[in-house]
Amino acid sequence: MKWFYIIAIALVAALVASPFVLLSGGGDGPGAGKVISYNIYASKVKSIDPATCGDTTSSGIQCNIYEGLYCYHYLKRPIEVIPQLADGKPEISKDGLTYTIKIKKGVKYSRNPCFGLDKDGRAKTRTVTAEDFVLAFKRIADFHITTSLSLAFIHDKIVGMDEFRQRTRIYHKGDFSRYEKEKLPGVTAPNEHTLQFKLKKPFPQFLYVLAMHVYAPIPHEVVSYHLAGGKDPIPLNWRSPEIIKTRSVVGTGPYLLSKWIKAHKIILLRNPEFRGELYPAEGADGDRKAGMLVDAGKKVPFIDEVRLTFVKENNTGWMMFEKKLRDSAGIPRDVFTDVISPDKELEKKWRKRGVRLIKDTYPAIYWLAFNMDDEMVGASKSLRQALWLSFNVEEYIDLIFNGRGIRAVNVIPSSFKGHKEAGPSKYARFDPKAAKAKIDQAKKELVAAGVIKPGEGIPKLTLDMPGQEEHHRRVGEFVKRQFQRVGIEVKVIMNDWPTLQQKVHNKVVQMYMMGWHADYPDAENFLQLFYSPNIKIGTNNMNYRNKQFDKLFEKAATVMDEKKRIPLYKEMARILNEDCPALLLSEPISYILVNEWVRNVKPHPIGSGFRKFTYIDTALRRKMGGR
Amino acid sequence: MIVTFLLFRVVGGDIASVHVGERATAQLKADWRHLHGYDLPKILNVHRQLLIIDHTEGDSFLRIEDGKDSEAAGDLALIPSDDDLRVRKGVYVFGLSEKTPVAELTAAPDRKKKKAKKRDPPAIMVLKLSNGATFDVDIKGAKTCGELMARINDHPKNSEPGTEKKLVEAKISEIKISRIFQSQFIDHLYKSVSFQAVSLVHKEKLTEIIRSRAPKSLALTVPAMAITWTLAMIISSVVAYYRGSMVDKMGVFLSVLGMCVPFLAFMIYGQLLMYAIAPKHAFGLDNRANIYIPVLIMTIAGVGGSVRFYRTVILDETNRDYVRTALAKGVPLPGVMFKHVLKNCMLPILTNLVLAIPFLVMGSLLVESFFGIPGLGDLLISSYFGRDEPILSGLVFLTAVILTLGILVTDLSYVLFDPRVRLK
Repeated sequence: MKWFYIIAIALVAALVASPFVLLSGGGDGPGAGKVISYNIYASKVKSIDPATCGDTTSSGIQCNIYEGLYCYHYLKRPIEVIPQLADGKPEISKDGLTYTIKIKKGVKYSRNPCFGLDKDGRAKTRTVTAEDFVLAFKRIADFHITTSLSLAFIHDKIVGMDEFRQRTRIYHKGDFSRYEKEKLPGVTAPNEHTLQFKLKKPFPQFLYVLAMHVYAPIPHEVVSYHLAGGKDPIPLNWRSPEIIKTRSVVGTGPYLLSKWIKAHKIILLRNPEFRGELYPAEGADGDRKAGMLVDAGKKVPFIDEVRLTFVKENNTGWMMFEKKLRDSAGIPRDVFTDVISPDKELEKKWRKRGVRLIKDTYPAIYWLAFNMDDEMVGASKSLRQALWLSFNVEEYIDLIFNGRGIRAVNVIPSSFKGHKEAGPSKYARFDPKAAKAKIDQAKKELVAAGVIKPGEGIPKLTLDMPGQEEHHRRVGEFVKRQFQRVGIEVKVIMNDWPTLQQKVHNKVVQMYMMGWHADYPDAENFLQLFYSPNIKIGTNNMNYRNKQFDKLFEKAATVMDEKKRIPLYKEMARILNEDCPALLLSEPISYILVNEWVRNVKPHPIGSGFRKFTYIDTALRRKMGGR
Repeated sequence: MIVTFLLFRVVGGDIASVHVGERATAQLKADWRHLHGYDLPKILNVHRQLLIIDHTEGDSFLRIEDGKDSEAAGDLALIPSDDDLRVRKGVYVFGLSEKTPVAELTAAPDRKKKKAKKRDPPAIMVLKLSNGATFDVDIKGAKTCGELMARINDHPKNSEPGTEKKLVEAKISEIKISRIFQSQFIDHLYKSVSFQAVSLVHKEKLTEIIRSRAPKSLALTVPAMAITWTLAMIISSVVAYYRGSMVDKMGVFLSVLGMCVPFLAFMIYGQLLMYAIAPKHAFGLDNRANIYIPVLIMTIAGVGGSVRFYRTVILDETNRDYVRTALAKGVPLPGVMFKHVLKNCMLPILTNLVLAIPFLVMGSLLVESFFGIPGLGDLLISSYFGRDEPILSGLVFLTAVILTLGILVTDLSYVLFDPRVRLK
């Protein structure tokens, strides 16, 4: 029995000490002498492969590692596309169908074993060639890679994309010979530094599309070495055609992915092979005064290492900012009133600490969508107009988003060209009286359509929410109250995201909450959601059909001159203003808090990958009590 | 196993839209479903399908498009499989025959049939053959599969010039024994049981995920359990020793108090306290010693319940006759407690302990997300919300296996402590 107690005590002691063994190799090493930026990310990174990138968090990481042909100017507003890996503007043929793009010479990939090892055992690198872009587009069209965003923009635009995808179906997923055997006629490399695109029809937004990092070059060595299993090739069945391992990430960007522990942390290190890029010398009006041009002409990136920790709890993330463990932060709902004064400025306590508040409208619109195939809301235009008139959007923004937003008055975001020209919709105002009058009209329309009998009221409508959280419940309650004003009852149904998607796809919804974030700064991005052939493709979820609108859209889709497109956009937006296929709610404004030691932060409405311009004064950070 | 299957494959909503993203086109989603086997028949593959086979150049694919103003082919997804090409409508059909009615192929399915009648477009299917030829087939008004096939097979352009050979042949497939088990359920079962599940999100194997994440969970739960158990044993022995006195009452009061305070409160205040004294150690695993803060919190939160349970067990034992006999014989009280009572108490305590072991691996969801420990705790819940179905069903199966093993080990360990139990 004595032995039993001795063993038991020893065992317990061993178990208590076990974390030291189980957690070996956890530390990040000292950061002395380095400029390190600390921040958090709140939702999981799903992809480190540009071809499969589809969510904002993944994109926020990838854009530091991969670079596309073009990018956006960091400071200039209205936003402007500038060359990144491309050497100058593209040469566009007269019919607008052929793009010839020169590629910068001497751009190098980050060092990686896939390029081989030199005499000292150090990984080699090589320069970017046009063929790497061709491979990137082939991977995007590959049937075996779960592409979403990257293919959706171009599959019907570039010659041969769909056909390539069809042909890759017959290959085994691990058989990478398809990239060599199958040709993609729409994307070719006439020589080492020239890339040529052939389009099916003129695509005025093509340059914006190319400014996304998802079209970054992929060296064929990554496919033939890493994806085939590295030093010891693995059987076809075990191979994944997607880049899923940290070591297979090879890009040209300012940073390289040094560590990625899923749902825990990400460490980005400065890429020593990054071509010397300089901080922009000119900016928008007011940038000089705001101190955005202090570092003009200096070599970027300024930060050596970026350490990102996965923090899911809002509370924890906020505590980290309060204790100066993070460089910048958003404002969680719970603490909003402590931080922001009623006049939407920073509270004194925080200003004293040196914290800056940066407000930024970004081009997105949230709306309550109507299913136009529905017998009730689809049949009566007046009903939709009445619902819009009865909705107090200002109160909605105030209550639900703490005032972080502005009312959306037409389907084009306020920062886009065409918004002003289109003008606000007649129904984008809060007017219960007019709404009631419209309801009477709606009843007549519905009787005429045979949906209700004369003398009957409008039956209960249903609203589908895209989530089951507290926030969605509050929004649902709010909508209920709004429509009650004009005597319409609403049943709110809480769905999780996949369920709502399926319902929308099967067209069994009546009204649902949705929104759209701009992919590129052109109104077409929003208007395509109402183009009727897109019902089948799956982006026109409101099932809106209007022949006149379709005609205008088709016309605008191929007009290369932006100035000539604007009047067409105006027409289209006006049709939607009248038809109200969606009850437009708000355009969001984001509030970001930045500590004093951080410089050169200017949110960009569309582009990403601007972390390289951020400057951190580490001496000041230490002095102020940070890390 | 069956529950997870039902949950995801039958009522779970559209998995493809989660993984391909909201912007993906309908075609991309269909491709994804095919790639991951979500378009296979659900339970058993005893279905006959409508096949449209392109005979022009061997086994290459056949593309079908809509004609102008038509949405006929929109509904028909073209799915080439290993050995043939087939067109099917929405779902697999049992016992498909020439007389099986086909849905109206004029427009996308509407909520109201009335609407479809209003618009009355022709239903033209454009068949694109692999040799580059195309021809249009008007399939409007085809009421059965037989009519649909006849429209395609008897089309004037559907034969090589001068010969009788058909370019495209539409027919109904036969049931093949070899394909009966190509179904979602069998696939699901096989992958779960053989632990071959691969994440739909990261394309990472379940075994790899567990190998990299389980140590972190164990680093949290193992010390917590060890400390809780030891502390609870000591305290409950002491408390039971002084039964009825102030010490006993105080001990019971404190343990009940510990049980009453919600676990979340311990965590929130514990972390706030850490932020106040040592902010760098309040979150994450940059320093290995950081783990002892959540361990401490788990211990404090857990020890109350254990003390109460162990105390009851020990008191049950001290009321037995043999204790009285031992005391009467003059054995000192501590001797009785540690030599006899504790040994006999082991039985229920051990059962309790071993049954907790499977949950050690699974980690603790709240603690892990609060303190930034990349363990397995949130894997189950996040794979549910992310609709990472293979991982979820793999995990459920794994938990079941570990739990069964745990019960087995408990039963075996009775041999050590209970002389009445013998292995035969």
